[in-house]
Amino acid sequence: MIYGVLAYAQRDLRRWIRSPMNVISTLVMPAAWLIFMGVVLPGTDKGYLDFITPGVLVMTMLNAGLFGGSSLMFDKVLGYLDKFLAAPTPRESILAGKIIFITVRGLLQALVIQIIAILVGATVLSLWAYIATFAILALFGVFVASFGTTIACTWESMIPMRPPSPSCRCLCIWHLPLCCATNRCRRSFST
Amino acid sequence: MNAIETNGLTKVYEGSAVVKGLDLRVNGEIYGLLGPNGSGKTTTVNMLTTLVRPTSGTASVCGHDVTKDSAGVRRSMSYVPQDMAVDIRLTGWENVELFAKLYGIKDKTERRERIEYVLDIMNLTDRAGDMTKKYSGGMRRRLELAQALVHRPEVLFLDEPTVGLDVTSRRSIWEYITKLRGSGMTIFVTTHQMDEAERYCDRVGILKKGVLLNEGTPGELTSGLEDVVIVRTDSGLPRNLPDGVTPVKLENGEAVFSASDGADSLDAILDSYKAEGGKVFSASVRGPTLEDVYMQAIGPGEEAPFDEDRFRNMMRRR
Repeated sequence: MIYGVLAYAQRDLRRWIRSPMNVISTLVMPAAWLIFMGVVLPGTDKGYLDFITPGVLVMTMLNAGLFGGSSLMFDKVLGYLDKFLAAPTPRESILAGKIIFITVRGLLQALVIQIIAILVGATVLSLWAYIATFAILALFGVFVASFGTTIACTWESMIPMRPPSPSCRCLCIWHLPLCCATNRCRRSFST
Repeated sequence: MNAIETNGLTKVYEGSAVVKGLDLRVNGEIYGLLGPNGSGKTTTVNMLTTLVRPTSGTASVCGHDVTKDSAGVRRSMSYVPQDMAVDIRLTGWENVELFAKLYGIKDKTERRERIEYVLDIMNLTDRAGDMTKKYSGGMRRRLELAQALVHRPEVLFLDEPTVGLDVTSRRSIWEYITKLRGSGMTIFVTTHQMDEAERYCDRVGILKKGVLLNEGTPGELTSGLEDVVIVRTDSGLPRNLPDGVTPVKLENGEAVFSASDGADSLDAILDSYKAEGGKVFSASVRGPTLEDVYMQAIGPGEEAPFDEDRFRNMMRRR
């Protein structure tokens, strides 16, 4: 089974790397949020970057995991999944491969954010602290990716605004409230 | 043992039977399953490829029951779905390599040899390193066949393999399929193309609303029909037709008749037009075709509902 899992994960990573827009958007967007929230907004005080960086890392993994389910939906909609399901590799390996891909992609995003956070002034921690952080992020990523792919299995389509396709709406609807819920926004808007 | 065997195979969706008691025996041949949209062809293939669980009845592929030993079924067959699903962000080689891995070919040397072999027989070696988004429709379909053949299956399921392809690509796909049959493989094809089915399939079955209406070789199925006489005229059907000639239809100035002996009847029909003062522009006789058999079995029928999601996906892939 592990052979099939790695084959699926490798395929998804190759697809992702070969789509420059996908790579840029998944790597740059979270970093842009970090810089916007931690550096650019008025009222920045010392140490706020240290406070917000872990939150951005966790949110990045959360989003990567949940949106990662859309990759499975694309496979379903575009007909790849039928071919995979008709192959002798255990069907569980399709899900496991996706979870590995989504988690690895999320960790790469998190790594980029961590590097940028250090470059813009966040406190540099010990190596073990970073190892522990990324181990926890990896576990969290596996958990969220499992949830995202499981949800994706049950959805028929990811075309938004169509009755059987609540995926995009469900995944997108929480971004703005979450963003506005941070005390960083409240403090910035009140100054 | 038949490569494909079904007994009373039935699939019910939301109280409606899509396939009703299908009995099939297919072995070492190209078997074409014909039928209009929504007749149950794809559902039948989906049940045989273990993508959909039958509601009742039994089906086996290479002796493996599709419900009790689905893993055995999947090891012995390959499936090329109707939707052209090659990964456009992978090269031709990588697309085939993925399936070689999924089919459990772990030895690197063996895997490379098999990929080289299938790409060679599908005439794709020169373009193996190119991204498949640069491939034409015919090349993508050939690549799908290469993916399906990389593990040397005993049975190959093809769901409308030539849909959306130009004439040249269609012909080359069928030539490859015919070669595969020559190597002893059993090939189960669904298609709308009557001329292709008549030319390339050893046997065909005609499915309507999930029921198998006719089955046999194209020759057997057409042998029961009469010749077809077609007359282009400006004066409708003659009032007095010769004995043994039956009018079939009059459409757009074209009168169609069926007759047991078309060549003899043609003269008699033309004499009838002449006697009644009708003007004949052209006339021809042809033997019955599989399309005639199909139209007789299916009738005008009703259209399947338009699948908007499927249409969007087709457009997205272009």
